[in-house]
Amino acid sequence: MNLLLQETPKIVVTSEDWESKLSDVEILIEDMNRLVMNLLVAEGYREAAEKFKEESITMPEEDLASMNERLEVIKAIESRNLEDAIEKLNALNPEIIKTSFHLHQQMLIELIREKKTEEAVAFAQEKLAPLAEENEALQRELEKTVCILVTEGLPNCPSRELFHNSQWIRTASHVNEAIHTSQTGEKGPELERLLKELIWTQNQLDEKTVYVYPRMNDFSTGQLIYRPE
Amino acid sequence: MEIDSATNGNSDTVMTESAATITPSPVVVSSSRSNQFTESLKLEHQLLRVPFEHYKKTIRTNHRSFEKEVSTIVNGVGELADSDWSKDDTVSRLTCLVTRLQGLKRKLEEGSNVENLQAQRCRARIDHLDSVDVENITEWNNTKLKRILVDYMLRMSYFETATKLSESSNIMDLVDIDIFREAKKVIDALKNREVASALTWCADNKTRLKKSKSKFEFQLRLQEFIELVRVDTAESYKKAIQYARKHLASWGTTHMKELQHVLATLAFKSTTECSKYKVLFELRQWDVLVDQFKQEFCKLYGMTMEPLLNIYLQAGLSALKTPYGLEEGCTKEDPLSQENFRKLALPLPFSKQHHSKLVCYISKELMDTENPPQVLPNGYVYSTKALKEMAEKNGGKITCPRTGLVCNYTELVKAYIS
Repeated sequence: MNLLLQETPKIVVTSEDWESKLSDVEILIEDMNRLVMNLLVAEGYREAAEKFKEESITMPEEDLASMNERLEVIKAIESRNLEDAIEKLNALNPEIIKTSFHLHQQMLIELIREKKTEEAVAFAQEKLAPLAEENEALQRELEKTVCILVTEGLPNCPSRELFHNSQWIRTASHVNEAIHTSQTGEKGPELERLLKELIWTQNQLDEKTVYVYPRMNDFSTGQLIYRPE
Repeated sequence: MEIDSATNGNSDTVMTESAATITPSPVVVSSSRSNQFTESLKLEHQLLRVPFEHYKKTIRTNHRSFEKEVSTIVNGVGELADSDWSKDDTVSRLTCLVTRLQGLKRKLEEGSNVENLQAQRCRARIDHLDSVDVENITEWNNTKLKRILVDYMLRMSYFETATKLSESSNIMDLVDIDIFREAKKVIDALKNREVASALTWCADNKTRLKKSKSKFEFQLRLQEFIELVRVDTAESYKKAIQYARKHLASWGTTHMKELQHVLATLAFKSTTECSKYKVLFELRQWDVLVDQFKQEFCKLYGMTMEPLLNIYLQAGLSALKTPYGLEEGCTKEDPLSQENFRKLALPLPFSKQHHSKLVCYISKELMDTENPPQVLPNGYVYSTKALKEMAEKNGGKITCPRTGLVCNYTELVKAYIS
């Protein structure tokens, strides 16, 4: 005789209930403003941060004037001036120069761009391999970068984007985060961490296959999608 | 494979025993035997396919070199017609062209001889398959057994033994010694960490490999790149990059991720402790290439990946393998009662039996429709014959030999085997 497996009972939360529960949660305007300020400061938007400070009476956690040094480095990178950036960064925090994989990656890209092949190989061996040795994501980045030495001539070289201006912006973003972390101890904007917690929480609910609830898929709009079965 | 190593260790014994097992005793061939034979012909695909592939390849190669030579000579004649050569120069050049034509003729004759030999081999195998009938099936199966053994020896690179057996059994046209010799050259070179002959083989079979989307040549090129990086000098890195630009870049279109992984060794070097790249420098990567070549080679010629001996043994032992056969005291007629066969059968699945076979505890005879099982009130089952005999001797009374229960013969219930 076959036994019929009993289905785990589902907990269904209707859209109305969900919205009702959400509206019961009180978020202070001051807390939201603090999150926005935190983001502006972390990402280096000094002028926007100053305006926001005036209009919302929200105090930044750090002196906005101290952002200047960080912004000078970022500006130099985005202007494709590596020498200037390194000089400024050396004055600000020499340790970051040693430990920043992405800064060295940009240096390697420039050596390759200038066709200094032998120097590029030696540089990759001395500087980049040790930094990537225990990080799979960085290993992947290094693979793509070294590959240009060989595949640059291909019509559809997938790593060619590393030669684009967008790569400079990515490098600047990584260095900005490194400087900000070294100065404040914070690892990126708090808003980013909250979003990650939201994603993790939704995944937990999904994995248990017990809850049916309005789900947020597009975080740029925050729209809730309800899909009852 | 475990079977391979076990067989290597017990070659003589296993082959002797398998000879006794595989060769059927002479019997009248019924219609069911004809069907079995028809089924077994399906395993002879390799026998016909291999020499045919070889024949096609020979024709293709001969044709290609012929076209090339004729083209060169015709161009030579054209040049003479278009130029203002002196009479002596013209005569001299025409003499050269004539000499080349004579050389071409000789080459064509040699090529034709080879093609004829291979066509003859194809024909011999068709004749061999066509020749089996009721009267000679024993002899035919003996020949088949020898073919299977030679196939195994060739795959294990026992060329002299294979040749001796083939010659003494007069089956040279039914086995593929020269083809396996061709493979052996490449395999030996790879074991010696040389890729030249393997690359030549790839070039010779370029069209077929491309059609099957083989990436064996890519693997060879990657290994050669790795050997350059291993040297670990500024000069060798320079050569490695030049090599990669010439021989690896174009593979990036279809195998970019793998290409990037290997190229990163330029940064990590052969001394790296990072396991993701360290593995690429291990010498056993050459063993991987040997295995890959064997697979490509077998695929190209339409051969089975496993030796035929393995395939037949696995099929047979799997059909015979039962839990009872693995116990002590089972009948000696069962091959599984022998240690060597048990070892070979160890990783194989058990035979699938649709019906149980019940043996009477009292009489040791089989219980079937003529001697059906009967159930005592206590649930124990014995055969009808044994129970009837007991009842006749004891005034209609039955005494259960296992529990001692006494009951009347009339209380028994017939059981049915599903």
